Amino acid sequence: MKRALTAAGVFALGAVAYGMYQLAYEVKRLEDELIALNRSIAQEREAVEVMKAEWTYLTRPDRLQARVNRHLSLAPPPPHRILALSGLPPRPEEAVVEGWGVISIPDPNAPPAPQAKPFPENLPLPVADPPVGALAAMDLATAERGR
Amino acid sequence: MNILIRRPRQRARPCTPADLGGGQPLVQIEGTVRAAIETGRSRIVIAGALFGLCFLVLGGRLADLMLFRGGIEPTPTRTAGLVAATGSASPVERAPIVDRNGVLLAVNLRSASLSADPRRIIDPAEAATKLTRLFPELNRAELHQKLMSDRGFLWIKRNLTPGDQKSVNALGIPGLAFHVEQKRLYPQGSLAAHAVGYTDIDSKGIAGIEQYFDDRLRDPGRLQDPLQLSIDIRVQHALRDELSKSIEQFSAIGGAGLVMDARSGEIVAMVSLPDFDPLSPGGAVGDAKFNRITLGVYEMGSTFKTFALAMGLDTGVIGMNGGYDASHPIRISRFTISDDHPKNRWLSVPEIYQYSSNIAAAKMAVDVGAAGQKAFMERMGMLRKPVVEVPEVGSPLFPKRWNTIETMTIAFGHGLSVSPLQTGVGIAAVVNGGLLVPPTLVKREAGAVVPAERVLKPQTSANMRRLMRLVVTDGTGTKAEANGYVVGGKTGTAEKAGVGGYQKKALLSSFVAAFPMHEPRYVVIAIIDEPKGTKETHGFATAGWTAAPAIGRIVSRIAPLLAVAPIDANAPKVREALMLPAPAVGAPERKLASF
Repeated sequence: MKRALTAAGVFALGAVAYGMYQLAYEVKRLEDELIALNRSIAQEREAVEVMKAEWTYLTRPDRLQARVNRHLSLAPPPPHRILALSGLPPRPEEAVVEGWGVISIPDPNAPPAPQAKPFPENLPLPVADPPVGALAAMDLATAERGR
Repeated sequence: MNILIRRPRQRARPCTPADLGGGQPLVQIEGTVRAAIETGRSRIVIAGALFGLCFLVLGGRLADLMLFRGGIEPTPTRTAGLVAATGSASPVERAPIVDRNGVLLAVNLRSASLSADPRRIIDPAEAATKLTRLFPELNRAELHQKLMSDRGFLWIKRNLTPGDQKSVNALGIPGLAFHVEQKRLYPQGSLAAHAVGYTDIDSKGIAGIEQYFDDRLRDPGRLQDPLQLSIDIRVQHALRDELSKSIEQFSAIGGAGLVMDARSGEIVAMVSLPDFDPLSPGGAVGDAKFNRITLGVYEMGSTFKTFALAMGLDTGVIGMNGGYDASHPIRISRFTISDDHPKNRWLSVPEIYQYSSNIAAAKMAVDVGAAGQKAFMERMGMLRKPVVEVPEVGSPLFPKRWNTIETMTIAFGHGLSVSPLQTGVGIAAVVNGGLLVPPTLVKREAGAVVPAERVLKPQTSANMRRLMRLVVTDGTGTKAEANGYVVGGKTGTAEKAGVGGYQKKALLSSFVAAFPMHEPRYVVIAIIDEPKGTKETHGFATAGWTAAPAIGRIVSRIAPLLAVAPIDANAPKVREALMLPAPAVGAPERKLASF
């Protein structure tokens, strides 16, 4: 009886010691993880700040204006084109479209009619992965062309 | 040694507490040794109790941690010190500044500087080639020489962009190192430089908002909380862009512009040209750092007739149907006051404003009297230093002795120098129903109570709106019209005071405007410093030809941004609000010169 008790005691002692070590290591591991996470949060935050600053820098009005003037044929809207929603004319029920004749404009509140899929379904899919290096080669080709 | 030991049974085990304690005594001891054993026993009991207590405390603490405080994670702030200690991130030293829509105006970023340890560089020639390819501004030969040297440390480039840092990493040159430093960046460049200001290398604000709110921006508790200004960067850009065009067109030496909310006093845009790059304020040339809107004080010229008329109407010296004889110039002591657009006849109140008559404005001011005019100007905030959130604020200059002649000249904007900001605040009070609202560069929350002081009767303000609109429809400021936005305003062309009197050729052409005139929301001021006439303006450099067209373009651009709905100038609502009283048929109430 006493022998069994002792054995149980020794076993319990071992188990508790093992458990304690496990726990201690687990806590240490979690702490490391926490530090790593906090560090990466700080890094991400900083990256976000940098990107915000960069975005602001890239979208500053004078730069946008220069790009728009060079690449787009946009002009400021004249005042008569700015209307309140209530200022819009009522929606017509029919319209004459060149080449199409008179078409009826569907009621916007009606349930949507079944529509064709925007892409054909029977487009052949690639049968195998592209060979290794093909994508890089493609990039290179684009870069070459761009030059 | 006299010990008697009886062993009932041979046991191959160490002594257990049971052996020592109760039950049958296993060991029988006698004599002095017995007493010693007893002492030992009681000591063991005490030690055991102490250990038990210790374990109890530990157990209690464990239970406390596991059961009652478990689940509370350390917050990032609590671990921030830990993270900082590892050197991966340091907290920012200064809160960001944003515009009214949250667009960044100033932000602290960590930037990396590149250094090298030449002793650890394996192939200096290759490293130099690679680095100069990345940074073309570096001199390859010089860099090669440096990398060959025996030094342990040298800077290659300070404050790299994150992109450059990545590129350097991609080069994979051993012996290079990055050093993290904090830097205050202004992503908008010089766009709002005068309002935002700048900092010195220690991140201490030394101009503009940066200086005024230095303590708040450095407050450790509010570093994550950006300071929001009333500036709208889009409006700021439109204002700056159009002013730059005018300055270029008329070969002017500078310009200034202000857009202010007439009701809340918020400064939506504030431009002073030429301006400077806040990243290198030391490189600013001439008076580029001078803020013409808040710090500069000018004799505003005819725009001040707005205040003269408002004063005349508000004090009841004259009514909308009244008028003055402007057929002859006024001669007083050695001065002659004449009109720039002489009609040489009696002028009604709307005509006085429309044709900008100096003679009539002077006569009206004399009727109000010097004391009355001074009190009125004081009430309009023209005689005290305005309060706004930048340290660069100029005090108005006014004459010590304020007699008849000063009264006359101040009526048409000479003799009293104020900042364009003060003029803007005054104009806002004239058009917004008569409330003087303190200007601010910090965004007012929607629904916030705006401190305002009544300085004019609402009826005076309504009449002044009609007069200001008249200047744009049929007066000196027709070029200020912006289709759909019912602009009203007043031109002002002042000769700048120089050595030995006023200079005929050095003009300060300004236009103060408000829109939409039937219920004004914004006050706009454009000032062009020393414009020169061009062929298109037939050689004129007066405000009607220089500042007024700028106002027209500015309003057309900013009104959609400020959500001002366009309205037909002939809409019944507008006509009703801006209708001038029909001139009395027959003999109007003629008021002749009072001296």
